[in-house]
Amino acid sequence: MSDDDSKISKRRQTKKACLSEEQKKAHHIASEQKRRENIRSTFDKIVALTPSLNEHENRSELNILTKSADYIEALKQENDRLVALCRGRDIEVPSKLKYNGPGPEKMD
Amino acid sequence: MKQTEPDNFISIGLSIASGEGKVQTEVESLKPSRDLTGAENIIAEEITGRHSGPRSNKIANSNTGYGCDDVAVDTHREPVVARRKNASTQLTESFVDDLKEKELAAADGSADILDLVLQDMEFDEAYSLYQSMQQKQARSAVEQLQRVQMLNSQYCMSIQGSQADSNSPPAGAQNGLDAIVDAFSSYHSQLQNNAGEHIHHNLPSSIDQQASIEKNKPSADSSSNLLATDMANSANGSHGGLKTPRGDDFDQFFSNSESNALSKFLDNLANPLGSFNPISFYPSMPSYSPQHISELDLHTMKPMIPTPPSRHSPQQSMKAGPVGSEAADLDGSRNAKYGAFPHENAIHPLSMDSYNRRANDEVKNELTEAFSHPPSQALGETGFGGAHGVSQVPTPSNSRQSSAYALSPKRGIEDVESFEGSMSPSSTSATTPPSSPPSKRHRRTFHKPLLSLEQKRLNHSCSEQKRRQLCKLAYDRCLRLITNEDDYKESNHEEKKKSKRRHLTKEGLPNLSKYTALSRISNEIMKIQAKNEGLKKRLNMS
Repeated sequence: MSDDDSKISKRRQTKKACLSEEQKKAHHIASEQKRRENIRSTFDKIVALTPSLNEHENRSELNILTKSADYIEALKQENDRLVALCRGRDIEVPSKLKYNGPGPEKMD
Repeated sequence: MKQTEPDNFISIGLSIASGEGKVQTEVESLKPSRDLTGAENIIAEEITGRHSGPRSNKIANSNTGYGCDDVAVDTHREPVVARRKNASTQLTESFVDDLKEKELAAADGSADILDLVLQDMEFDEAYSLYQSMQQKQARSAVEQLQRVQMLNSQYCMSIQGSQADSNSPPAGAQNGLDAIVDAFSSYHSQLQNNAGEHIHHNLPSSIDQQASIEKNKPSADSSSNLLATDMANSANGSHGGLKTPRGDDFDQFFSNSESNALSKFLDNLANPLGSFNPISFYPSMPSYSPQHISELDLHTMKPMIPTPPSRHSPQQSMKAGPVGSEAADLDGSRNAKYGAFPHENAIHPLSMDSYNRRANDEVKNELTEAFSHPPSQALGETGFGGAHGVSQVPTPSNSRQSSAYALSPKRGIEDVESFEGSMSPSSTSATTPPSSPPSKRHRRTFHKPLLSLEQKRLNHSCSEQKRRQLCKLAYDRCLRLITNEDDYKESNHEEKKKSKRRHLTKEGLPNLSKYTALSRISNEIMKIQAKNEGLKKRLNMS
């Protein structure tokens, strides 16, 4: 019995290994496609978020990265300007509305 | 050789018949500025040289190779004479060679692919260079001979200034044609009579007879005088020619034979009774004469028609020697195409000019063969003992030349190549405005595919690298905008054990996957946008 089981398991292992090769391949292809799709979706998101980028430009990585970086810098400058304006008008500025550098929000 | 030459002629005739329309269009396209009569005249001039050149060359070859080839030669000669009476057929003929060259160059795929192949294979390259150099030699030789004959006829004209043709140009042209026909018939008879004889003895007598029939006795004498006098000068000219830079492509290949020929020539200079024909020192040296093409182009192109100043033209053309045909005609056609003789045409009537050229071409046929073996002639007259050794020198080149011509399918390409090659020295060595633009164009097309292939690859890789570099820079900039280095420095110690991935790259940037980096960019954008919106709202509320 144990011999049979071991044989079966062996056969299964070989079969599994054989299948796993194809499965690996398919999985790899699928994950690669997923990754590319994710990157594409994020690019599309950035394009949608950035006003200086229109839909026709969503295939140029260089364009997207440059313009999005420009836009982020412009947003930072605008944030500084708005904070200064608020302070000038004696408006209380909550710290969460002030730009504190990149990265996720640190919840106090 | 006997079998291939008639085939060549048959093919030429067929292409004449078929390519007539093309020829007409080409004539008009080549000479848009001139009226058609002028173009016809020029073409008539061209054709005489163009077609008599290769034929005479072949005849000379066949005669040197086989003493009894003259009958076959005569069969080719007679159609030539018949054709010369017909101007339209001359027109068509004049461009047949051009057409063949161009079609071959285009249809074979050809010069470009050939060039590519030649670049890779050294032996093939060397072989084709060698063949093209032989073609060039042949052409330059006939060109120089043509110039000599032109000078001779002018000299004769100046001496016999009261000739009827100078007074009435059309009648003179007719007379010239008749005289040409007579000369040819006499030459035929001469050839047939001397069919069994060796060509060395045959040709001098034939040219004498021809000169007497054409009443050009002074010209023949003057030519021989010029030959004798200018041979001494030709030494200097040949020295200069040997030392002047040649086309860059052929330097490494022919330097040895060149130096050998130079040493031979210097040896013979010491011996005044020796051979006066420098080309005989170049039995396997095809790159010698193309140079003289350039020199002739430079020096004698303008003073070719005016009689006195062009005396150094024969000096160089005497060195031309036995072989070659088409370079002269190509050169002449080039000049005609680019209007190199505007003032000459203005001075002489066109028909007069054409008559001169035609007569010169007729003389050239004879001179080509007559001067093909000057060493044997001179040595035979002086009874010099070593005549045989010297007289045998030109023969191998002739036979090789004829074999090169016998390769009829390859000939078109080689003609194109050698045409370019023969043009290239003139363009490189000096600044003849009419000839330099076409040569440059040819050279560019010659080298274009190679350069473009190399450049394509280089340009592509360069631009791709540039693009990637720009992309990387932009990506890094984005990462810098969205990452807080302090976060990573703090978190690095905590999460070091958990994952290997949380490292900063060499540039101090987080080692993020592209997806996370991009999503962080978008998150950052959204975060700042939300903050700004809140600030604006507060500003508006107050």
